[in-house]
Amino acid sequence: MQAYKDKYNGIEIPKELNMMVNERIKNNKKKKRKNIGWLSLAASVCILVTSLNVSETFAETVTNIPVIGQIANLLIVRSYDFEKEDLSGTVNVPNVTISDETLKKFINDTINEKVDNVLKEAEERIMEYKEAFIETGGTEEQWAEKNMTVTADYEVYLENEDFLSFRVYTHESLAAVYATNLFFTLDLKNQQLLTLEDLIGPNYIEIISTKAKEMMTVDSENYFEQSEDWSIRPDMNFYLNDQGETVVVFEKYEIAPGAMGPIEMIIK
Amino acid sequence: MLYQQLVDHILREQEKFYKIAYSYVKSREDALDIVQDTIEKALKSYHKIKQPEYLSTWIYRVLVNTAMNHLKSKKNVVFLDTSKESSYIDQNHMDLYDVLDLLNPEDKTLIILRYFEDLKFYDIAEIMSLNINTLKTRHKNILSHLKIQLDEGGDHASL
Repeated sequence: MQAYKDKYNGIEIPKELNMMVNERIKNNKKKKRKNIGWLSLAASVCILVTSLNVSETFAETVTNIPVIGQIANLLIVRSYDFEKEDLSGTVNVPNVTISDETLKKFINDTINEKVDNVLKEAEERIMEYKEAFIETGGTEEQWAEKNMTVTADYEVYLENEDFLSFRVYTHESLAAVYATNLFFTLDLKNQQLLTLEDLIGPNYIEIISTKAKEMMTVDSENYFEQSEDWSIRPDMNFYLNDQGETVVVFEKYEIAPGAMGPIEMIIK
Repeated sequence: MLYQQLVDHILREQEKFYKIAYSYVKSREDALDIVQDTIEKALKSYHKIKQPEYLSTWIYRVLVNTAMNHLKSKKNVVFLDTSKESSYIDQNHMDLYDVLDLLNPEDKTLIILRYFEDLKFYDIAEIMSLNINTLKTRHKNILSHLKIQLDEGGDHASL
């Protein structure tokens, strides 16, 4: 048995481990502060509306009354927690309230469909997993301990007279791979969705690719090696930060090991 | 205060977590993901710990559950259950470490925690939410099962 233990102890520790662990702990502190901020803001402008369409899949199991918190005037948030036998969740889905009806419908439909889908699929996946768990000898009691959760939430990056930039995201406790993201950046004056081309110019692919390559070369240990003709995906995610700078977001695993998470890069 | 204790514990034990995670998934990326998810979950729900002295047991539990969820989300993994198919054993380099990979994740957890992390049955029972007697019986079964595997494999038989 000692030989096997030695082999186990000899498992090589990747150097990213420590970096990732520190990063996680740091991020958690950041997130915590932010959440408190949002809470107090939401509480001060919170209005109760019960007639809004709550996702049909879960409506019957909602334990809390849906609370619609209006944060500023641009987003209406549909919030509820639900608790089912095998899955519980926290849902905060923002919908935009802008004057252009077509654009409004497009954005809100995209968000709502995505979130409803994730909630539905999460439930299906969890039922499949439960079946597998019970089949492989797990008991109902052990299952009950597992506390499967699904979360849908949003993050506002920039909100002023001219722009609204935010992200809607979902994740499941079952596995990190089921996380999804939707980014929206709106030009409120012209009532249109902005693209990277609008923000950076017609040769944005080249500009961002060059900058990304530079970043990856300088810090080559932390990124995947790319070929000479590598370039960004034209439809990559981005947002505007509170300084109004364009920030592009590479998905997890896109240019770096998963442990580094999504990679953000500011384009000046 | 408990939060600081948890952070210190994570920083101190991170390599251990990684090794456990790695034993399940045998992939650096996946193991890092599991450790990352574990830390996230732990930091989010540490208030559920009622007594600080259970912190270590509790985080093992989070880790083991996360690793198992991860495994089960990968549908192409086949576990050797109670079957004694010798087709697995014909390969040349079959030692316990490899045979372990054929155990179902729960049994594997038991062996890793008992033999590699040197935990007591009492703590393992707590981590795996099992009755201690159930756990001991299971332990015995796994060992005799492994012995059969190893005997058929022919190489290392002593446990």
